[in-house]
Amino acid sequence: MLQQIKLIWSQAFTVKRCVLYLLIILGLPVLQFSFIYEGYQFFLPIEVFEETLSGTIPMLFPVLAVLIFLPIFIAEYKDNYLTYVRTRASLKDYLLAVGFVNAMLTGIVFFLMTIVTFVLIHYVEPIIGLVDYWSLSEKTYETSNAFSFLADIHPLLYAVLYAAWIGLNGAAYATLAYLLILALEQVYLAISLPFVAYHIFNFVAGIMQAPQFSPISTVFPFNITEQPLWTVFVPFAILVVVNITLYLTMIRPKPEWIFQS
Amino acid sequence: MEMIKLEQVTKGYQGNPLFADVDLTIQKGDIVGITGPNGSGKSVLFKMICGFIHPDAGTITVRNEQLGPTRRFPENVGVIIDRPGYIAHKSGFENLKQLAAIRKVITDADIEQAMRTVGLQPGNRQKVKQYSLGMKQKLAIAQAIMEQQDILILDEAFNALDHDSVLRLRELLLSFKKEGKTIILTSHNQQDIDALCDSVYRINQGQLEQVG
Repeated sequence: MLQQIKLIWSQAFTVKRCVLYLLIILGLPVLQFSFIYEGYQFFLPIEVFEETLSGTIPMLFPVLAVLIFLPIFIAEYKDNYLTYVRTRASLKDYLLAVGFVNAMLTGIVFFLMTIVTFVLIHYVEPIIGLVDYWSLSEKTYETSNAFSFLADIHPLLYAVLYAAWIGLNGAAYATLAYLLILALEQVYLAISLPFVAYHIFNFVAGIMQAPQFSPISTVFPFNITEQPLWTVFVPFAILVVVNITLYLTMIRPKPEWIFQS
Repeated sequence: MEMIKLEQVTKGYQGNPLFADVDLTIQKGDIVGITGPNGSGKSVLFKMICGFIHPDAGTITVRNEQLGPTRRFPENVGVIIDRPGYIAHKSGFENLKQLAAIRKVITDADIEQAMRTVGLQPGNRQKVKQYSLGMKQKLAIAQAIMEQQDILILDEAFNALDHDSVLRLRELLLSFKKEGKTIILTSHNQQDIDALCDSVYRINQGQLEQVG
């Protein structure tokens, strides 16, 4: 099993894949930063950080989660490659190893995206001076969110724990897509469903006037007023329960794996 | 020595009964041909021997080890089944190297040798998606033999091969027989069956009838 994980992990680090990871870790935040750094009134670096992680990244979050590792597995799945893996290794071990690498790598890429963005904006950007900060004495509104209390303890504590939260959610969405591929055996439907479900639940939460429970506002809670911390765990808990249910009801009991790709 | 043994195997697939109480014993060094019309269950039979699917009743034993909960698939079996499997955006060598990395029992030189044996150039950087059907088939054969597997299960291994390649593969399989390897194969071409097989079984109404 450990050998399978090492093998699959190593496959995820081709030049093309590394460029993709860099684009997600650095490219998207830098692009978003370039759109916002002049057009908004900022008082603190943390506000710039939160605005940088708004917009495109939250909208595309489940798509990015699916893009990080799953194309590697999908290529194996579609091209009948798994048939020739299973004559060499236990298919169960291999699929578990893929699931582990998928979740880990997705989580790490999102963690790095968040923490690197924070470090650049909080510690490096003030030296460069691209953003014109307004005096705090002119601030007339609150910008705190469910995680802000961590920043009051220490900015880095906030950065690490919030980055871990983003990573955890990314891993959960990537795992959902992976489990759906195995359960439904229809690749394109499986990788679309997390994105569709994410936005349907955002829409439903909006209609029910409970945005604090929408997936987007619990992963990126910068567009709503501060909510109790427990609210962010509600959609995440649902996602975890869906993943566990998928595994227990549709994947673990499967007596035979015949991939009809 | 019995290498593959099916005892009282019954199997239905997707609602259709395919095999009923089938017995089959294949000895070490034998080449056995399986024939039958499309949909008769040749691939299902091979998948059961590979441990991909399980009989509804009966037992399958490979090298005296019964397939089941403790032994999900037989080790060191070279397989071509359904169609060649590959990662389209990698070269032939990269594909084989990735598969070989799972068991780690061969070196790059062994992979190159297997590719040369089937008529592929190991140094060819062409991606497999640009391969012809025949080249993909050769790559599938290379993966089935590269780890010196002593049992080969070859479902339509001659598909898409040109005449010279067919002759070369026949020679190769006969040389494997001399080395004591056990081979079970299907082919739509009766000449392949006649040229290679020690015994031939035809799938007919859920039974394996020996016809040669």
